Amino acid sequence: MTAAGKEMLRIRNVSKRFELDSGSVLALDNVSMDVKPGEFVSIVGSSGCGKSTLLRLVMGLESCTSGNIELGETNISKPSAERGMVFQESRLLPWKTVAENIAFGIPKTNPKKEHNAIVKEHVELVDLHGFEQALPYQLSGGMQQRVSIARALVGRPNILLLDEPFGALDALTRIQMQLEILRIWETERKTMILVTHDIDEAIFLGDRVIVMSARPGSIRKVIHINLPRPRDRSSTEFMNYRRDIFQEFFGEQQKPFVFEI
Amino acid sequence: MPKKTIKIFDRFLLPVVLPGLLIFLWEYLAHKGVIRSTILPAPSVISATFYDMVVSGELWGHLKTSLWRVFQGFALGSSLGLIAGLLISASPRVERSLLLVTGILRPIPIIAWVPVLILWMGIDEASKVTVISIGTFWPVLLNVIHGIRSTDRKHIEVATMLGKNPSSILIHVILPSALPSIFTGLRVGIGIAWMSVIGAELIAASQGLGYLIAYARELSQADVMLVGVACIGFTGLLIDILLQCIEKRLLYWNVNLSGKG
Repeated sequence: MTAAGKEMLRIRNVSKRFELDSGSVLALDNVSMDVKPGEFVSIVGSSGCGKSTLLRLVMGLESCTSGNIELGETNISKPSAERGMVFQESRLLPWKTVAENIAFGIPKTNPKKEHNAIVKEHVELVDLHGFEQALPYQLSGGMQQRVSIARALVGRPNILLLDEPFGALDALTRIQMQLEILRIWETERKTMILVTHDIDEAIFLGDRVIVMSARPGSIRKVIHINLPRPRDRSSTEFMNYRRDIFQEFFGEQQKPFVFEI
Repeated sequence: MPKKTIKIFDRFLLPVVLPGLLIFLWEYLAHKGVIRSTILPAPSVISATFYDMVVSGELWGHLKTSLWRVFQGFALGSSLGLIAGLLISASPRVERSLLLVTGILRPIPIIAWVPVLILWMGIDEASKVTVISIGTFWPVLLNVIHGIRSTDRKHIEVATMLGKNPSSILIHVILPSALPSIFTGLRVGIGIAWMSVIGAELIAASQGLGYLIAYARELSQADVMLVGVACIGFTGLLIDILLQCIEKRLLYWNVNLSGKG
């Protein structure tokens, strides 16, 4: 791995204001955090808390109104192959096959003759062997999302940004995809930032869970998850983390659990 | 009846039942003398004339002339429509500067151009090809613009994120996405082209299907006129079927078209 892979992601006093016809909206207010190389960070928050906006800023799809985001020494201002992103919708190009969609993510600096090998390697990584020539409409939602993950990884990014990647999948497929992303994280050792509104998912995957509050979006709490992986969703410790995070959202009064631990 | 037989009946026989019955009735009424043969000759008379004209090569001569004009006019008009559509979609300034011109020119019926173009270009091929290309131009232009406008912004964002340059985005994302719409434009365009050539030939020509009909009217040859009319209809149908076949092959990924998915 290159030296760049060991670089820290620094988000410093970032604010983002959107100018709309109806006035301006402060989507993010003075957000700061560091993400260590190889770390898995989950960000949870209710919809509209700016968590996706934060991810888009890290990707370089939008620019900060104030503050800055740095990867090592370089300031992030535009998208780069250093960072890959997976969205809630797979966003595959319907006219390209699985292999062509994955190849679309290879940066043009890569020699052409390596393309086939890179695609093959990533098809194996996301377990889609035999589906290389399939078109997106022939795949299930979970498989489409696997292609999307492969496309984000072929540029060999050091950071993978996941913007509610399993939000549109059914509960069973979602759990399967969580195991899958964990496996990829463990083999590839990339930094991963996951935005989700699923508290279980955030605890199951993250080294840290960052709880965000809405309007304006800001960091409310950072919770370190000190559990060995793979994590047992029904363990007492898991439940305790779950309760802590629920309380951040709903307070003491409204207990979301019908039982006491 | 077994299912397969019903399917074959529905697919191939059902469309010809109604025309068959009508022709039968027409033939019957003509034999009874209810329909005057100078106004509307019997189908058997028309087919006999058709056969004679095919054997003598007369019909093919007219058809060939008309088809060649349509081909030239369609090629010119649709290429110009495609280029203009790309330019207008690429730049709002081009669009605004052309707004009034296109707004005034578009509603002009193609037939209205024929006398004007004869004055400018003379009575030979150039004026006819120009009329056809004007007729083809508008539907292609409008559908190209519509197709490009309806490109999914999320797909463009993915391409931007993957570091693609504008020409690569055009080739890999915008054009394939606009292709179904462009094809609709081409299909409408060739229909109008085929109508325009007949219009132009009715007014001034010495060859072509339109001329055949106009000349037969002067000689009161109702059967020849109807052979010409039928020939126009069947040729139009064949052109459309051909274009649909090309569309199916080219847009294999389009779920709406193939009925799969």
